[in-house]
Amino acid sequence: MKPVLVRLEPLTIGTVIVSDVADPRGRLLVKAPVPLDEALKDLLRQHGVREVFIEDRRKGGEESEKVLQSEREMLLRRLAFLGDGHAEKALKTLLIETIEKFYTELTE
Amino acid sequence: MADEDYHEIFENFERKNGFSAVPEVVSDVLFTLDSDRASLGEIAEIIKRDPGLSANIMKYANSGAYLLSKSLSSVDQAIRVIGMKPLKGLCLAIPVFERYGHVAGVRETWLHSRATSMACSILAKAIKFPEPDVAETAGLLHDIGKLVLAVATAKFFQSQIMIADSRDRDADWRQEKRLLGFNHCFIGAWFARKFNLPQILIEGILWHHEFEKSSYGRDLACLTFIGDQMAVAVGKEHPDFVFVEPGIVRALNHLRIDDRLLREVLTECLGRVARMAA
Ligand SMILES: [Fe+2]
Ligand SMILES: [Fe+2]
Repeated sequence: MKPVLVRLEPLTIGTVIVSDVADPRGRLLVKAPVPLDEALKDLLRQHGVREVFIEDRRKGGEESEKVLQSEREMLLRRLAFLGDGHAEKALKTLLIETIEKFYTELTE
Repeated sequence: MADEDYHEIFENFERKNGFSAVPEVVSDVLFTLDSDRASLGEIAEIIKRDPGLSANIMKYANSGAYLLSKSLSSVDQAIRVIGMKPLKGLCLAIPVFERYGHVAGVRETWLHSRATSMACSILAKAIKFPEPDVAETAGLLHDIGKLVLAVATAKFFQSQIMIADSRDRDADWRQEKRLLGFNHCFIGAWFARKFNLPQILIEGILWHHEFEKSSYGRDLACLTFIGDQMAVAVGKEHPDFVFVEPGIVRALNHLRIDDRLLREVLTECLGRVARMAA
């Protein structure tokens, strides 16, 4: 399975990080593979790490549903400045459809 | 525009050794690239004199910016993949973003800039833009002015990060103009001018949020803006403003990008960004 970059925040404890994580200055923080626990999550947060590599699961399951849900929420937030005019609404729909399709296929 | 104020910001950036972040060899690289008779081999030799820059260029080339069948293991290979034209922008951007990676918002701006560069390059190829290399560089450097703000006006920049997702605010560039008297586009253009980047690139950086104001490089400015907004849409947002701007509708119309094309480009962009190394 290939690794995929996902947001750290919604990941549940126990998810395995599959790629070494460095801080923004490039110093190694943690060696992969390593299962995520609360202390590690805190450490990564403190060093400004927002995203980590996990295995790309195509079988779905609780983890990918959470990732999907979090992506959906973030996406809606990012599109909140697009107004209610016809063109802006149509664009919003296109962006949501395309991005959701991408993540659904990724986590299936 | 308040002249004294932005001079102060530039001075402050220089006081913080902003430009010493650009290694010595970069001026040799820029000089050689400008001389028109440079070869990739020659450039590689100059870059190899600086192990830090060499390592960072290889890291960049291997980080998902290019479609590779296997990872690159030498500076020569990396430079061949990057190509002559984008090198200039890269040699400027990589060291400064690296040097200030610890400053709040800089790492996110770097990720956003890399994603924008990818989006611009995908978009340029899709619409057969005559200079895809210039589009790629414009994407990489479009927000370099934000880096200067993050370093030279750290307090201001942090205050903007704090309200990055507030719905009760203006877009970053409008907010900067209102509160500082100028914005990151203006500072970015100054940076590009200082390093002798081509005029078209300076225009692209200067007008990436107001492409209609550009007389000389309107299409590039517009393309850069769409790339910028696509990067935001796929999750590589600005640290100080997380939203997609409504102006994207006008920009898509200007370059006649229809729904089918937009879906295609966006999907490719999503795939590439998902594979982008942190
Ligand atoms: Fe910008
Ligand atoms: Fe941007």
